Amino acid sequence: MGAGRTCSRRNLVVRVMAAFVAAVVGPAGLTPSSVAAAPPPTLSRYMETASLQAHYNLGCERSKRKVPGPIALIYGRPALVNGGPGATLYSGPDATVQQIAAAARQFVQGYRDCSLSAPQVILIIATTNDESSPERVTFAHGAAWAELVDGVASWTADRGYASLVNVQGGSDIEPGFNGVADTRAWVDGYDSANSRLLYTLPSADGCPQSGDGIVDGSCNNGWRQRDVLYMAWLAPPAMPIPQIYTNTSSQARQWRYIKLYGLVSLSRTMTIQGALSQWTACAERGCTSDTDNTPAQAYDQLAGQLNADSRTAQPLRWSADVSWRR
Amino acid sequence: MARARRTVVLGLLAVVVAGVALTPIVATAALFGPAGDMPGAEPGTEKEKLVDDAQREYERATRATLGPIVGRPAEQWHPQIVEGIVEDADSPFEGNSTFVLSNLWQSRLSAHGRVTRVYAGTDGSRELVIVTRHHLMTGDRELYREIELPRAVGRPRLSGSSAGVLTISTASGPSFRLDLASLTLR
Repeated sequence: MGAGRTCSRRNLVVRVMAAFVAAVVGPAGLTPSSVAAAPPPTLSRYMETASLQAHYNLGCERSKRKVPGPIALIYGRPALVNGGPGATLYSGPDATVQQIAAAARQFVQGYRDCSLSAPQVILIIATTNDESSPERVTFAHGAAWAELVDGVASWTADRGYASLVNVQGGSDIEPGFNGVADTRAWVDGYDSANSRLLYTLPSADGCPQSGDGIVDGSCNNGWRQRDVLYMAWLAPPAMPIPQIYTNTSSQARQWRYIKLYGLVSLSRTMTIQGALSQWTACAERGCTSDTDNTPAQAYDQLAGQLNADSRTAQPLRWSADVSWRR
Repeated sequence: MARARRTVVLGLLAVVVAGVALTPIVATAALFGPAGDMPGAEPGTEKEKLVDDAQREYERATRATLGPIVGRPAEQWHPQIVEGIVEDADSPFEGNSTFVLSNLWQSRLSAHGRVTRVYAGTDGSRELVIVTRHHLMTGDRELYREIELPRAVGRPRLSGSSAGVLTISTASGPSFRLDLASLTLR
């Protein structure tokens, strides 16, 4: 009787300890099948204006949404404006980096002014690697973009807003937009002058959807998996939130095998920060029919692919969508 | 012997219970701020340093205080704010802004420490007035409005104020009236 009670008590202790260990170790010991539900998506924006008022209003609107995470303001292609660096915007007049900085500061101010209880967001001030005309995607433009981002970040910190808005740089980098050399020059230029991360919103056009991680597979426009990986992660400030637009999971598979290539061939562990969808933008202006994943579909596809292999398994932090108008 | 075993078992249980209780606290602490929001930087890399910098900046902001406040503001601080048009004024933006200021109008200081300012000027091809209201003690801005004038009216300038209405003259001749209460342009 006494021995039996001792035994059952010991069993209870073992069960309690096992439950504790499972609770503590669980998140770190992620298994291929354990994929969390998508978080509420943030809403990024293709910018068609550098109006201070429009930016203030946008920051105000985003603060009222109360969704934490990355918000990219994408200002279009690098450009020369009156002889200085700038961006083309989308269907708006070109803007200088000074105009973009002033506008981004108004976004921060609007975010600060319109809600006392808004969560912290990552404001990504982004351009693209798309060449509007020759010699625009350059080392010098990358450096100028880093200075623009640093200026907005300093302004934000000086006013005590850094607990609300975490300012970082960014670029929509796609192999189809430009060659490796120009794109890498821009990224290295950014890295030469930055004190902020570079969130890349990359695609992996034409990259393999299978592989062993040993062969450096080829992608479109002369890019290879290693080049895509460089812009997304190997470059010192790079943090990726890749485009997962296609309904077929093809882009999610591409990123799984790019990550695998980094692990197997370079011993580098890329941590993908989240999945970017364009569902809202598609609803607003249309897009190719098989590229309109919802944010949850994009997140689930990418998380599912990454966690289908214990080597590439990871939690996925963010779900992000992009809009033309909202 | 049995008592010793029971002591060991109870001790183990205490460790387990304490661990269960503390784990969410530790985990939650690590989740707030950029360190949790920008995960995965490999140790010793520039990426890790940039994330750490952002985390420190976040923590500084969350810990920021106003510093010692001695006495009531009214007793310590008497800003001289005179209502009217100011010709030699600073732009509301930093030096590298493309906004070119003509002049401004400011209100007197309200009982709540607020002052309204209306800036007239140009931003590239846009002619506009910018209306702001500031809380002078804290630097907080409660209002920001851009009001564009019709295209190509030329550089605007504030030329008069009366009973809550500002007169805006323009380089090409037409003038406009800005009602301050409703912020409407006529």
